[in-house]
Amino acid sequence: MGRTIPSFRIAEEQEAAEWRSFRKALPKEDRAAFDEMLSSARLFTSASSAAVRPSKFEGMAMAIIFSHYKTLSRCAVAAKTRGVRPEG
Amino acid sequence: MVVWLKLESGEAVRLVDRWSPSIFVGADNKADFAVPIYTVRQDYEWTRPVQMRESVIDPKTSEVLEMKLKDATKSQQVAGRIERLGPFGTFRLYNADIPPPQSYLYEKDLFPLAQCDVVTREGRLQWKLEDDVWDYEYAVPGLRKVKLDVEVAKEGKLPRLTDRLESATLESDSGKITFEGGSEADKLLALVQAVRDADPDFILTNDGDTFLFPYLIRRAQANGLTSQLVLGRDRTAMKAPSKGGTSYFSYGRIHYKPSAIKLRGRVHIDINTSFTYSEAGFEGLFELSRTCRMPLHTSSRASIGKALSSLQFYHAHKAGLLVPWKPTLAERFKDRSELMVADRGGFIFEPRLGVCENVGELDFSALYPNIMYRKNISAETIRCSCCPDSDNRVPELGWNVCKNKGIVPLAIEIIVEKRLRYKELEANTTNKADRPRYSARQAALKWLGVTTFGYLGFNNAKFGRIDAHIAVCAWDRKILLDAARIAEERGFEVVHGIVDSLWVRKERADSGDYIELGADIESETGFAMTFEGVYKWLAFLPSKADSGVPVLNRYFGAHSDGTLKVRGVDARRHDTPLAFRRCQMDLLKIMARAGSALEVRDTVPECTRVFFGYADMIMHHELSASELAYTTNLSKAPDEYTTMTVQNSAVTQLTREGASLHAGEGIRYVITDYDGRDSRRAIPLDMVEDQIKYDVERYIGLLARVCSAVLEPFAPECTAQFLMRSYEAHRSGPLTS
Repeated sequence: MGRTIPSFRIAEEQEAAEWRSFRKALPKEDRAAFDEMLSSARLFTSASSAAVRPSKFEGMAMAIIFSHYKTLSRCAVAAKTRGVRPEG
Repeated sequence: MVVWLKLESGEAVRLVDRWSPSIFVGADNKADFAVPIYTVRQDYEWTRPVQMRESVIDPKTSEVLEMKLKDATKSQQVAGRIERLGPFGTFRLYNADIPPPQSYLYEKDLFPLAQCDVVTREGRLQWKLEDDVWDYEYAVPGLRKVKLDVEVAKEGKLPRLTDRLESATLESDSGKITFEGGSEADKLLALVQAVRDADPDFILTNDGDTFLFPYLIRRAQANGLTSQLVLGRDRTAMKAPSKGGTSYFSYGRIHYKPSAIKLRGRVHIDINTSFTYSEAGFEGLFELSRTCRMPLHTSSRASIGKALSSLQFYHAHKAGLLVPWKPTLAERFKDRSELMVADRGGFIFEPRLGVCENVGELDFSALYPNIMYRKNISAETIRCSCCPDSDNRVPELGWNVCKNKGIVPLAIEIIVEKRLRYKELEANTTNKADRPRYSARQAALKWLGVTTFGYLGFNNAKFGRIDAHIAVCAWDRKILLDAARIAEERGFEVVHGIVDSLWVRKERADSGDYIELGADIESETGFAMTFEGVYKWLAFLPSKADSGVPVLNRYFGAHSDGTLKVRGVDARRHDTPLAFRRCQMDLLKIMARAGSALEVRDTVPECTRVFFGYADMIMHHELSASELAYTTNLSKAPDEYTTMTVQNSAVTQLTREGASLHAGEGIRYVITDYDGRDSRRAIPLDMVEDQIKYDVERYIGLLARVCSAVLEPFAPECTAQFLMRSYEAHRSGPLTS
């Protein structure tokens, strides 16, 4: 008995490891940004786990998109406060 | 069966009951019973067909063969012979690995330390129980305790079985006797006589199983006193156990369990290997033995899981349910999507990284045992075939739960109810002397409750099934999410939540508001909540590998009354050197005086001075080796290490000195030359003689990390490097001035 499916926390690490080749092919300055992006998925691990998606990538991708959305929203609010109008 | 009684007069009496345990054999074709009846005819007194429940999932009884054994110690051997009489499954064996003393207690409905009357009739004992296992205020007979220790005349750096006995010490409430005069044989005989005179019920040792008793046995052999080394009550000479200890893997770590050395008529407690004694003392041990119907000797060494199994076996016995020798209860089939929903743990809200102020902590009381008890979760109750229309359904999965009480809820009723009552007694007693007793008893029951959940999914558990384990986690997720929703509806923000605890905050909320929230959650979820307090400030720490990601269960904070709660940092880690733990705790105590995060920042200069003080002590070798020793469990056998790590350098020296180490055994070592490449990088603490030169630079660097771990959340500039630079400046200051 015991767990059949790894916890999302472990699955997330496995998924990140599977993207090692992608990371390796990036210029040095981009690797830190890539690591930071993957880290942002770890801020929402419980929510990704609760979503119960068959692909671990889906949960991670949603967490990263959500994290970026929140950052953008904060930027938009900050810009609005300073009177900056977004272009386009 | 040999039974030791403690009379009201204080005298210990040995009684023998003509009794032996039964094992049971099941087979699809009852005619097949003739085969074992003939084959093992030498091993049983009699056999008879009886109606019993073979499986926990089958409420019906069936005919099985009861075999009353002649020799209680051979039950597994006989069971093995029967099992091999046909392909696996032809003969199903039951009750074969229940220790005979436990079977005896179940059968006679007795428990250790129970008050009872007994009559001997034709070689059999007739018992009349005058006690109740549910009693909270039971009387324990007057028990005498002694502590035994030896001093070894070491010839090498480590004590060996071949070294001569320097002295032996026996310590009791009435004083301490040391045997050091005369020959080694004189000392051994004087010790034996002193134990006989003191006639203790308990002999406590440090490392009695691993070293002290094997050593005394070897010294007795060397002096031709093998038959005279009698420390038990029944005049049987001590002998070394026939089998060695075992290494095992549990929760990500390797552990080592030595073979137990038991004394007849007395209880030997090896303080270093008794989990129950170390966690809950004698009172906890008594409570555990009574509740789980396990002899004191066994319960002092047994894992809590074994004690829990014993409690389940007792209830199985009462219910006419047999205990399978080799459980075959398999997980129910699940398709992929169901498995993905099911196979998850309890819920966690990621902590809000950094420092928060005015945070309230609310914990569910004994949540998992209460889920099992009140939601009737057991291997046989989940998706039972008899109640498909049951209203009791597992959240998210919709599985039905049986309307009849399961074996696990039956067994844990006493754990849940008694613990709750002891906690009430502890809180409400006016007699302060009673408080530690209630506290120890509830602590022992707490560990039983914790283990109950793990045993639902443990592959060696007789009444476990992963589906029951899954059901508990599903309930947990629902309860914690419901609690968070209730908190948010009342304007609180959830800053962290883990399985059964919730940390919430709301501006200007006070204790009353948090208590009210707890009451609301309790009334809506139906599970009791306790209010742990309000934190003036609380820091959730990041991962060491990724500073942007919070880590569960790594936090520290100060309550309004200045008390600290510290989890996962060095101050709480048993592998960290004592001096480091003390230093970090000193820092935290200073920080706890501050009322806000900003005020904590103001304490940085004072905390830095504390760091300097400890660093100076390291620099001047004023800290002893034991204060700087790291503790670690060997993850493998000594000959399996391939690189010369710091741990391996200590292991290498120990094995060179003749120490016999096993995977899972603990060692303590001091770093002497971290950057070195040979086996002198560290020295085992056991081999330290007087003062040693430890690696000052390495230790100060490590101390800086320990200090920065608690300072950095409040003052980001306080990194380990910054503290090191400050220390260097502090050292050079007085020198240059």
